Amino acid sequence: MTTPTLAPMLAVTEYARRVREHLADLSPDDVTELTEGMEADLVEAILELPGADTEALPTLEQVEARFGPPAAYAAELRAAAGLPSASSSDTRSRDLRGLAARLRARERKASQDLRDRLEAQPWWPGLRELALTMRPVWWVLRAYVLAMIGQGYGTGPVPDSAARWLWFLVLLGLSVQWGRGRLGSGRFWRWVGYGASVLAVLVLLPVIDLVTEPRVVYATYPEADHAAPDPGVFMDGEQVRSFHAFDPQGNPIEEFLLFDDHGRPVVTVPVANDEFRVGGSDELWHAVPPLDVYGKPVWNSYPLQLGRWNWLTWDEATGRWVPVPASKDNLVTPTRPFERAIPLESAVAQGEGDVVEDGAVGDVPSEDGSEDDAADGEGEDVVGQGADDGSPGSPDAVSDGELAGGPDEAQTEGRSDG
Amino acid sequence: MDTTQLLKGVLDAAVLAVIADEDGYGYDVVRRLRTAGLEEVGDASVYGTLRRLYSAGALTSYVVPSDEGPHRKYYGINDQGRAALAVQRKEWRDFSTTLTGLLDKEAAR
Repeated sequence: MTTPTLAPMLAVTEYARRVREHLADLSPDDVTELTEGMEADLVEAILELPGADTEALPTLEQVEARFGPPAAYAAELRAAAGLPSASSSDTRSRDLRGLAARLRARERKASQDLRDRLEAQPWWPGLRELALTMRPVWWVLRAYVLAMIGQGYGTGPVPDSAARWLWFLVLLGLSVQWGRGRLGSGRFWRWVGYGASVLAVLVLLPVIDLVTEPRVVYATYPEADHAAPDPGVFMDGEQVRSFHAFDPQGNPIEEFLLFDDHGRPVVTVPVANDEFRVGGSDELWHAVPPLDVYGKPVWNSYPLQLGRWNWLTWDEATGRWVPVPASKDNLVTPTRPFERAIPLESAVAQGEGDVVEDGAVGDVPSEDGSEDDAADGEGEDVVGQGADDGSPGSPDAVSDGELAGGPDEAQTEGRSDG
Repeated sequence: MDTTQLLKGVLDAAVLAVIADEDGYGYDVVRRLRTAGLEEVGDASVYGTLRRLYSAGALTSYVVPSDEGPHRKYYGINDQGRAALAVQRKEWRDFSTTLTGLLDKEAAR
């Protein structure tokens, strides 16, 4: 009997189902024992009938013609197996087992009644055939729904990981095999199968809701945007190391404290230990802040004073570098980019008499300009000159105002140690 | 005479004898009984009997995987089954001898 014949036949499956229905009052174990492999036996027997058509599927009528009505078949099974007949389980017994059996029998009768009524409907055979045809769709849907349990909202209808894909394929295999009756007919598999089907029906709507949720794609931003902004002061993306201030007359302000509009000290050296190179030299420099009246370093005092690393020692008490020996000679102030800024119109108009003699800003003697250019390049005496040059409105200072286009606050070539 | 009624009393012995000959699954046993001449035997009766003998401990059972269909549940006989078969064989001989004698005497009269 190895013709392609043992494939489940719908009529045989239906017949077996009806027989089992008539055994429904027995324990599931008994039913399994009695009907295990029943479909295969029925198919084999049918194919041995004289003139059996191995190509065409048998009808339910043919199956019943061979084996008798399902009820009679079930009764014969019971009798031969020495199990109580269905009617005897209707006898009023007071124990729970009897009650359960009666309930099962009643339920069986109710479902039989429903079936009889349905079968009386003209549309029933077509609907039933359609449902049977569509069964594979349910097998796939069942596996899909179960596989999608636990997938997060907004992840779309497709399994969101390789593991879930694998899980889906495993469930699909089990679902289809169970649907085809190939997964063993033991009690264990029966309960797994029914349990999974019930679970799939229960979670069907939530899962549909989940997978139809619009897929949410979270935009990713460059890492830098999440990071804290770089500390310090920046201008056009370049770090500012120091500030140089000029009064309205365009004269440099020797020392000043800088605050922003929130009253916060504007600090260009966020980390006291910051070291930096200046003027393209390999030497390392540290900022050396002055102390306030309470002995605290003042980091927003400008122009910034710098000390070369090998003249400095770290002062733990104030948290700053201090020059060793403690002399101002070991410190430099970065050279001003220019000695004077262009005075404000208001300042010039107000103090015309004593600020600028000729009143012509930018009217610069050429020799003075060339001298200052040389000073910026060499840098040897710029700081000293700046310190001495307190006279507002001197023509040579005004000439520096023309260089205002290229500030270079890190220019420290000229140390004041010379 | 309705042989199905007769069969009921001796179906255990018949099934045990078939299984003792060679292991078999449900329909296989049915087919062998019919081939042997018990045309009237009912499928369900054989399956029920197999199940009852198995429950009583006279048979063993094992599942044989099948490539083209559901797994087959095979039955085999064990010592208890063979002992039961021996007893039923003797009872049948005694009974049939008695009944044959009875019936033949009636017929010869």
